[in-house]
Amino acid sequence: MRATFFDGKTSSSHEVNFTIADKSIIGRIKDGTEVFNWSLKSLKLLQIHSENKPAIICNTEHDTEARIYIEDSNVYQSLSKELNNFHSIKKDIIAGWKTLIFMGIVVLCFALIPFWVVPTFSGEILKIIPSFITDDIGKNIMNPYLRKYKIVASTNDQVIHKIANRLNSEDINIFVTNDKSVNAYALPGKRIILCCGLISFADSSNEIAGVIAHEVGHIRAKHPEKRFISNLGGLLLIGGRHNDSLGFVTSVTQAFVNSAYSRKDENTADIYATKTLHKVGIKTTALADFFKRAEKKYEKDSASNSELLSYFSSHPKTSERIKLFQEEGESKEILSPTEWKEFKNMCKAIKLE
Amino acid sequence: MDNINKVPVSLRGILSKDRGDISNSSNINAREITESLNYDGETGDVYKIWIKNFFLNILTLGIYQFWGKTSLRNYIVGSYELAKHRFEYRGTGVELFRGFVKLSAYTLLISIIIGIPLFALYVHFAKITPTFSMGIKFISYVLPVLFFPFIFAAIYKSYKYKISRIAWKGIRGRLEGSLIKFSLMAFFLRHGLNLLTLGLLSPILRRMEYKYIIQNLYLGNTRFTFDDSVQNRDFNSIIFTNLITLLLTIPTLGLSRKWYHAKLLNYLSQCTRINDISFKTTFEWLDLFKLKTKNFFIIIFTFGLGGPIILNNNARFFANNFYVIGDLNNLELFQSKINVGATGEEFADEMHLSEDLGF
Repeated sequence: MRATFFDGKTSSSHEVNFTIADKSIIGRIKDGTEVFNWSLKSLKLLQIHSENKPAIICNTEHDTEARIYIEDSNVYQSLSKELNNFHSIKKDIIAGWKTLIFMGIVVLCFALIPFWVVPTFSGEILKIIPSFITDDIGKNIMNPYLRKYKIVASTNDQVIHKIANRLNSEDINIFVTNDKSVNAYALPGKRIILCCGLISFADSSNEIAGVIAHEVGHIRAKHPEKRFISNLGGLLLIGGRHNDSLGFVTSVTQAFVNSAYSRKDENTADIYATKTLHKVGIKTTALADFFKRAEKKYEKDSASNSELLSYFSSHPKTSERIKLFQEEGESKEILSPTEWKEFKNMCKAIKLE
Repeated sequence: MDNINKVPVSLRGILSKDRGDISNSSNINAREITESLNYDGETGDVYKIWIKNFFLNILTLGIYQFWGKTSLRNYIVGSYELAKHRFEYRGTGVELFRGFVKLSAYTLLISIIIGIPLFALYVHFAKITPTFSMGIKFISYVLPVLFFPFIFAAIYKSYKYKISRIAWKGIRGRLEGSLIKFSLMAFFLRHGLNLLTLGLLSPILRRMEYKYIIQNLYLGNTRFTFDDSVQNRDFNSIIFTNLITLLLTIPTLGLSRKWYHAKLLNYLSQCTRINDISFKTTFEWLDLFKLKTKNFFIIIFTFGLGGPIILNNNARFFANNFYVIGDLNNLELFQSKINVGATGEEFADEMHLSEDLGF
């Protein structure tokens, strides 16, 4: 059987006659000198023979740069038969798939960094991030929100300051916005947003105090910061659709506001709220009433008004929370009737968005 | 047909209808032994590979692209033949993937080292002082420009990789040279200075870049050389052509530049040598224009699905206009021991920087 042989060391080509014997393929030039003796197991078909292209065979064990070129289709066919249709090719294809699966796993591992490693170690990551950065992250999340809604009142206002002071949360910035949804948000950098919709929905100042205490619970446990870091992979994906930084920040804010805390985090915040309220002598009954009313309204309006009641839809089952907050008796309101009226009027006086 | 009998046997193959009767042209000296580069790839075969790659890419969420790209190169390179010896592509998908993984790791590392402090600075100061905010904005515009030379380094690395995986008569190609030197030359001279001088220095700058590549190009252990000592008259004519075609760019909607490009390519290939072997290309501006126009319409009317046709057309066009002058049997080559990795290759591909090397 004739073929052309390149030894891979020089460009000289050798016309060879090769034979298959004793599990090896031996090539000899005209004068009988042996130029290669390769074991059949080590053969690899680099190119299948076709009408106008020769078959190219190499050795995978040694002389890996050497090549056998088979031009004659008859020679190729008989060699192929002898070698049982090149077992090594099949092995090579299987090895290719194995490599592909292995490489796929490597890629998945890379993808796991933002989606698993970062969320899992968000607490540890948070420890090395200085507070001024988390503060500014909060500011940056809030800014696009404030392009849509206006601040109606903040901790600088006496009534809000009074609630914050009573709940030992003077270090927290509370903002009331003209957002008509029944919602409240805790943001990184010790910020709470209370929507006017929620204030209008509340029947007493203790209900508001309960909601604030719950949000403070999230802040004390650093849930907003952890949520930001945990969602960073997803947030970047959402933000990645935008080329402009403004669009990115807006979508990050949107994603942040829309995403919910885990049930565990909500329970932590609820327990914190209960403890804080008890500590300052406020019974959680008001909060239970608030949720009872919300449950009724949520059932009634869920189809038409679910967006406005997102606070309840994104939290744990309302009935479970009512159970947690339910207790005997009532306590004195945190705000005087005049202050409460003043507080409610803040939202009445402006146009809600 | 009389002409055919006057030229060496090796040249007769190229006197076909497809290639044109070049023995009459002054481009090729008929008394020299001339070998033509042949390409016998079929569009149908390229399509088969292309379609297979397309579906496997979808199935494997893009991971197959490294193997797909390799099989396509395997086919295209393997379809070239010179002096009855086929070229061989020796790259593998695994090494491309390894390059990609390495690159991803580097990118991640660089992002952490540079990105986090920059982000922290931006977040902290940008909202406080407007001047600082402007400064940061300025840096964010300037920073990518500073990274621009690295793009050329990646392109050069990609050349190095591709050349090192192409073999002829069992001998691999090799491209040496400094990535930094090439990238600075490409960035500041070939692009920067060229832009500043409105393209007037284009022939000089392109010759300089090409010369750098050729002087660092090897086949095995044999180095290519760039010999422009006898081509000075031609080069003066190229400078003149550049000037004229630049002036005619607007009235001819850029068509005039094909004249310059064809002349320049032919000049550069004439200056290329390896031992006693020289090269010649016979590009004509009209053919070059026809090819580019045809490719443009194929892309438009097939909504990008005509990629394999273009790939095959380009490869065939290149082969049809490429000749090797001299006795290739006298060219004794020895394998080089130096090997090149695939990291830059993937970077260049990720940045869509792949440049056409004729295949």
